[in-house]
Amino acid sequence: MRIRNLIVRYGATTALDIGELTLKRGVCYAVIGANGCGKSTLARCIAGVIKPTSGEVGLQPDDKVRYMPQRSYAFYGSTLSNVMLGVNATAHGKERARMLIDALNLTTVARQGAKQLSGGQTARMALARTLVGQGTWLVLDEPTAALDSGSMLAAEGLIRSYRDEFDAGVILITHSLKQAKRVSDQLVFMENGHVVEQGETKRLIDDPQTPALTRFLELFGA
Amino acid sequence: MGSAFAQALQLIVTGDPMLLQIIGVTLRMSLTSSATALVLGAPWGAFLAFGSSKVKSVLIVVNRTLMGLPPVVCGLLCYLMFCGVGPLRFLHLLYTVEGMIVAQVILVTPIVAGTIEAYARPLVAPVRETGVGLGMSRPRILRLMIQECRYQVFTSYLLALGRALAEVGAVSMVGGAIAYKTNVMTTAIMMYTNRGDFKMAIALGIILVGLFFLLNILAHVLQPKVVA
Ligand SMILES: Nc1ncnc2c1ncn2[C@@H]1O[C@H](COP(=O)(O)OP(=O)(O)OP(=O)(O)O)[C@@H](O)[C@H]1O
Ligand SMILES: [Mg+2]
Repeated sequence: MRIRNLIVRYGATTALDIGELTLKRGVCYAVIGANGCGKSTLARCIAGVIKPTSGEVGLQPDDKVRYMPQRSYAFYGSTLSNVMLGVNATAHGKERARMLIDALNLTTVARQGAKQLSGGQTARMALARTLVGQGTWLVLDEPTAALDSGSMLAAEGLIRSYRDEFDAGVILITHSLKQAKRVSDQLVFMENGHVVEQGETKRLIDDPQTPALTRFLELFGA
Repeated sequence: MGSAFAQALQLIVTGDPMLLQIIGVTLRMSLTSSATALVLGAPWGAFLAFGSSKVKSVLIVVNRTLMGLPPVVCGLLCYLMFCGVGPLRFLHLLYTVEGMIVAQVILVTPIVAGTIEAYARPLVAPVRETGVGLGMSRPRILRLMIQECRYQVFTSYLLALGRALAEVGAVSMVGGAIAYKTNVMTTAIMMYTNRGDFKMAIALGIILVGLFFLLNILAHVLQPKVVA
């Protein structure tokens, strides 16, 4: 995926301004940066939810993006029917939905109304709904922000399996450096709408090249 | 007074023909006008809910103004259109049930559209974002959106029906409250009260309130069991 001169403006504010960013399939990228730096805006552009003011996200014709928004939305109907919205109701699709519901500990609430789920349960349902279908790119906007540690580790395992199973490129937005270390191969650091630094996760955390990332990591005490 | 109340109950229990006739006209009028308002107002409300532009903002403000249009003003407008020198006199709608329906459609369509717009607008972004993220087609996302709003569509219909049943200004001006023809429950209550014939007025009042009670029971029973 090649992102070139991608600019998103809201009135006078520039939410996103990325000169060049190349992402590869089969790699998990953790996108980090302060609140309002443009992470979600980038995710929305990649998913095709918003049209950039200028520039483009260059995808292959056979690319399919699966995207989980920062705020999970529950439709009327059960947890199970919400998850099934993400996939064709084939035997294989149903099987995958059941597997994800079990893995994300939603079995007891599968037949319950999705709108009654707790915040963390709703996020788990939304993650299952995103992971249940096949895609070449997986874009997850803070998928584990509302999750307890057990569910978080389960989610991270499922994200890694998704990458391996479909050779998918994963774009994981997170505020947890520990999570980035556990899950990602590459780190993308953003500030004020720009991608300031990109590189191998462990190397970048140990040896940041820019003052901005150095400062950011210091705040984490990393 | 007590005897008037007892006589009113007797009218209801025995099914007084005059009473039934008035109720019949009322139901024919209000069910038709509210259903027409739903058919016109739901797509109009959906159109107002999607996206934002200067024109749309103006249309929304205009629609909100029309939501509060006083029935007598609507009645006056229709009267001027339908009367002997009005531009639409060739339709012969003055003092007919059809004319009353037209006036009520003008009155309640903005209510259907406005309530649907207000409910649907904040849902458009998250539903679209979620649908696109799951690779859904535009028609499929639209279908989901309609599903999310279906109870709201239903309650906005009940609101329109309630307003059509209770409203008196427009129907009395356009219909003229002609006995056996255009006299509906509200205009009949006024007429019988003015005549001092309280039993009929009270009977109609009881039935009107009873109808509202039924509508609200229906809304309550069909409410999705969710704290949204
Ligand atoms: N629809 C919008 N209209 C106007 N401004 C917006 C809109 N969406 C985002 N912005 C602005 O764009 C900037 C980037 O927002 P974005 O949601 O991408 O941040 P983020 O990095 O995801 O932050 P967070 O960590 O809080 O989720 C912010 O300044 C925000 O106010
Ligand atoms: Mg965000």
